[in-house]
Amino acid sequence: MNILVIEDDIPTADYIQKGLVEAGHCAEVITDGQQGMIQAIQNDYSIFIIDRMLPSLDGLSLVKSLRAIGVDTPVIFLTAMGGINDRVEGLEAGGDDYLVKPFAFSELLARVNALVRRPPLQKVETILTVGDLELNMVERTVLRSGDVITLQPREFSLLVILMKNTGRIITKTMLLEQIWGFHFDPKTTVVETHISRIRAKLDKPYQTSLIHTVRNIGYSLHVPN
Amino acid sequence: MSLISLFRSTSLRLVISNILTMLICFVIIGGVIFFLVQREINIFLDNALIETKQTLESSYKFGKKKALYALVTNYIQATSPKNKIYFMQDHLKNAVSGNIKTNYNKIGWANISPSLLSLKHEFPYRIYSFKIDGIYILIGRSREMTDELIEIILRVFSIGSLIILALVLGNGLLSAFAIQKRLNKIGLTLDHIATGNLQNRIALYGHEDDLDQLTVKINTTLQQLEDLFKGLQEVSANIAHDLKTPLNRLNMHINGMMELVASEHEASSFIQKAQKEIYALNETFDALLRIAQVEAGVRKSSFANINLTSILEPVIDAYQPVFEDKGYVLKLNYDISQIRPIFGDKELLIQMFANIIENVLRHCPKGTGLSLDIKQHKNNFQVRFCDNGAGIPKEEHQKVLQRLYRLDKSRTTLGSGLGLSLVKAISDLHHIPLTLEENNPGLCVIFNFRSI
Repeated sequence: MNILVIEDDIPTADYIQKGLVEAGHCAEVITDGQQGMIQAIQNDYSIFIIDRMLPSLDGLSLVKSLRAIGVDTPVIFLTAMGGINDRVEGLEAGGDDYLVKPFAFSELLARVNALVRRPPLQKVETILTVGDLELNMVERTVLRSGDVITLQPREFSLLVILMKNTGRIITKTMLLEQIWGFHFDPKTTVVETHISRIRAKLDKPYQTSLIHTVRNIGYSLHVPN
Repeated sequence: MSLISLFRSTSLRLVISNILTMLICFVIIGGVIFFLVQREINIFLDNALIETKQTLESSYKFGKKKALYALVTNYIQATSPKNKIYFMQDHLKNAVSGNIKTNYNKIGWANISPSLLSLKHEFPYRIYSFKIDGIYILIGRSREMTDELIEIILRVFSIGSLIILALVLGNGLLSAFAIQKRLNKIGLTLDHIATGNLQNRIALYGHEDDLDQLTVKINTTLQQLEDLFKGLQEVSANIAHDLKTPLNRLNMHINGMMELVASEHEASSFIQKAQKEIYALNETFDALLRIAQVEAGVRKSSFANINLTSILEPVIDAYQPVFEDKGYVLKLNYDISQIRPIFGDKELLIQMFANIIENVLRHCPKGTGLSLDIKQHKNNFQVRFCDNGAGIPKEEHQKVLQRLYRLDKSRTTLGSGLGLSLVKAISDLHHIPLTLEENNPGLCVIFNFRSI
């Protein structure tokens, strides 16, 4: 993947670039807003990672302009501004996700992967399959090895996210935001508890576990190799 | 749009009270005029009759019955029964003279109806009946002219009063509406400003009157507010950037260290602890910033009509399993029909309720129960979170809502002490009064909602 990082703080930019490269991506760093804009227009990228406070052209205006000229590439905002309105402003300006510094790189990587997964104009899948696990989106049924698994509504939604991102790591923060609309970090084990409930229904009675915990980062659903 | 209700309008009330005062005055004056005029007219009528009687008496004195009879006949010829009436009866009750027929035989003053005098007129008569040497004489005058006079006076007075009242009312209403329009405009602008658009100003009318002067003062205050607010935002943004950049770099370096150290190495556990501290530092900082922003009303412009169910439901769904797994009890005592829509910010309210629930998990021992009740009272409803844990002493109730305040006994437990102050900031922003009550044992956190 070709990623453009527009960040004026050099150590942060280096940190991100290093992490992305290690994850197998190609990452370009620009430290100036105007320069970044030009770069974004002239070349093709899979995703932009843009800091909000940039010299010469701030991140918000940059993204607004990109969207205005029809550049649809997904954008993750990176910022120290974690105020209650800042996230909404970022999304309203055309950003697809918003990460507040300091952040764990694994969080950034998980979100980058989740955003890039979506190729446009893909047919909506109604049946998701991973190994012997089958989920029907329309009928809202889950089968494992042919057995019917009964899930609570949110457990179902959680499973959908994991299955749509098979093999990718989904962080707890992402799950909290998407399943419950929590835009803060609960001090208690909300996600862990729900995952363990799902595991009890989905993994425990069977020989192979499909839901895997990636320590300190998040969860991933895939057939174990 | 919120219009100041017309009935609360000061200028309208002024007009109405003026009108009422004038009305009362007119009624009193009218009454006094009526009374005085009536009295004078009556005196006039009666004096005329007395004079007639005296003339009759002196004519009898000089010429006895013959003269009296001649005088009365003269009088009768000079007038008509419509105007003046005369009646004479001898001691044998035979009618001797007169221009009326009657059976009336009392002595003294009276107002009688024409039918008693066998007359077909509308107006009553003022009569005076007396005896001169055994002869019964009744004289009287029609009240037609006098009554009509009084009626004209009253009518002119009433019409005049009504016209005056109508003019005053009309003028007053016009003025009241004009003033009300200006006040409404001011009110609307202030409402708009209160939702967060501090750059608005109230337009001046150009009349340089007291309302305009007030407007100028308000605008000046708004400018100061806006400047303060901008200052606050700049400071917040600068602090965020200046403090968080080194924090961010610290985090990256620690992460870098983490990757280089094997997890079995004893340095690894120290690094992890360092990471946790950075995390906690960041959390506290973000929470403080968040509270400051909530208090400054930054979020108010994104308020919308929301259903409380859509806020409570995800929170309960998230924490119920956590409660069960950790050995706590969560009880719900409400039904959906009790819940009404409210005006607010969904994200903030979710965090507010989540904080309350987390506080129980964090500060109460295992086995504590938390019950969520909704009590309805007309158009208001209370959302009550009551636990049966250790509770908070009544003296501390005000303090725990302050930032970074922790009760002595909870100093050793995790948490930054910011949870309840954020709750208070959010409930204040939404104008939802928040009260704490002792649950004996335990604590009740009560939100008093007013549904829209």
